[in-house]
Amino acid sequence: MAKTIDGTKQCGKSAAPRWRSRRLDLGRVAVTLVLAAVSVTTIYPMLFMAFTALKGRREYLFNRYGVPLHPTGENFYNAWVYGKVGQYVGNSAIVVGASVLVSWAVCSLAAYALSHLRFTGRRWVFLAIVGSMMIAPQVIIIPLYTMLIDLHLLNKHLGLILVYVTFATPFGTYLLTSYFRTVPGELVEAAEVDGASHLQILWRVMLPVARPALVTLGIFNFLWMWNELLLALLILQDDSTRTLMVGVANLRGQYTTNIPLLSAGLFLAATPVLIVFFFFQSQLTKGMTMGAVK
Amino acid sequence: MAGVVKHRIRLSARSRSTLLYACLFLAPACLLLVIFRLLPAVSAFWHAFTQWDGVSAPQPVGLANFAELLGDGVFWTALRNNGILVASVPLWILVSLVLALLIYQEVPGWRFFRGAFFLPSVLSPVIVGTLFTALLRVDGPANQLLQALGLGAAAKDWLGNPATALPTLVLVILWSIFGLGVIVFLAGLAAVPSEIFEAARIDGARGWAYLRHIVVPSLRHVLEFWTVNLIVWSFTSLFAFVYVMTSGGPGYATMLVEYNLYLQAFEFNRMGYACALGTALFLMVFGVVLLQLRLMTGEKE
Repeated sequence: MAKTIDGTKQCGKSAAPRWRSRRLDLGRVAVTLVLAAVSVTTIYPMLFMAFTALKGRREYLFNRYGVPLHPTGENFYNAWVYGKVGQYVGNSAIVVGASVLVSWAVCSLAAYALSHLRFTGRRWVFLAIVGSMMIAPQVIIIPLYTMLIDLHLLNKHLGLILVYVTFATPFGTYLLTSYFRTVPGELVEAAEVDGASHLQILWRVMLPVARPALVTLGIFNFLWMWNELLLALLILQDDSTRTLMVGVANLRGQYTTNIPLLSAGLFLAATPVLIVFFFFQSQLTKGMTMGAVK
Repeated sequence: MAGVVKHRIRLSARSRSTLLYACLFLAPACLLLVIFRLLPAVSAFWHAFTQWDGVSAPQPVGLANFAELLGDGVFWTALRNNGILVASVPLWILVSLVLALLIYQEVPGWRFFRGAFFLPSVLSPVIVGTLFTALLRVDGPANQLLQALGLGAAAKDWLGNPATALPTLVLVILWSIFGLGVIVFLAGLAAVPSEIFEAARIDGARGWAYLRHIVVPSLRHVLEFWTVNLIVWSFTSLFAFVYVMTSGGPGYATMLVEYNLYLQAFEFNRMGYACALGTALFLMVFGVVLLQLRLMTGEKE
């Protein structure tokens, strides 16, 4: 069978072994039922969140689990305006958008040098960059925090952007380097002879080749940055710069008993991620399993 | 002769410009990593040997922080809880592996099931945690469902009860991560020739024997990779779950090392002690990774 990275198996009906088709497969029915039951446990909590968000507080008392009979948008409005979800979405969009863009640039430049510029110690620089993945945020969070205060970057979007890009660099550089390496060196040399600068080669040759990797990297970074709590919690403490996940975590304390409003806030916070999930599932799968199958 | 010399000069000029470009291109990545990752790491290590409130000058205290850490009941409770999480890793792996094998059968709708399992793992722990806190409240839907099924006696405050808080947390974390394991194992299965599994089936391998003698050996590398990933993850990526769901409570029932670090540093301003905790955390993660490297290189020899 063809080896694919994303875990999809590419065998058609003809490849199905014969022993399967001969029996009336009670076994296969059982398998389907088990899978369906597990799917219910992953999907129902999401549906519960969506349904609850559409219910008024009174309806939630009488109709906890079912489809909303009198759907209302008031929870979304209240969460967006009074829960300040709208403001937090804006902050998260700025931080995550900028971080994803800057990370693309930083990692592409580094990956180009590590894959197509020959210099002594290249291997060590590569290992050092990838190896820095070992240093988890928790371990360095305290000096990082006091340093950002000293640099006047606390409570500024720029502070969190720089930290996010830093934490995204090892994996991004690793991913793009392995893609750029597939471009033959002769192609780069030919372009050099034609008078193209390294920056032009990177832009015109490498980036088009590495497009799938860039998409994967962008999605991957978007997801973890959008979902991240610890760094955002400590670096953007001011309500005006706060990101969405920190805002949602606070909303939980503020509206413990108003589950419909809380659900609306959660639903709004999850929406961008769900959109990415539905449209880019295969790229996502690829990115997540990169290291596994080698 | 002259031509060769000229060529050599041109070459070295070229390699010099290459080096210049390499430096320029690597500068942003290296500067960021040094300033925001390496220097803080060195600083954290140094501050582990000081008493420091984050504002006034740190006072060197030698190994006092580490001595305190070893005598601190909260640290040991947190470490025990982390240990319980690590001990539950085989369960997480087994669940993912069995489901991956079931999806591998390609029953109708397998693509849908794969997507449905994957869904929770893209959601933020903040969202998952808040959602399940609401679902598991005393008067929440989970308990009402139990009552409706006539199991009202089993209803309880799942996250507020010291006996059930940690197991509940473990299950919520399992819910949020098992789908990623399924995806990883499916990628591993796709790399194994399917004839191996078919031949074993025809030979009558079933159940546990099939899993142990056929599946596990074929997926050895993927299993190793995912085990190490999960262990490292269980030490360093659960802050948000604890922060949102239990704050380490009730009592210290769900206290984890990384959450204790956060509390010591940012609630009690004990930055020096927290840096010692960070050093301990780093050493534990480092140990796991070293062990993995050892296993991998040992196997090659």
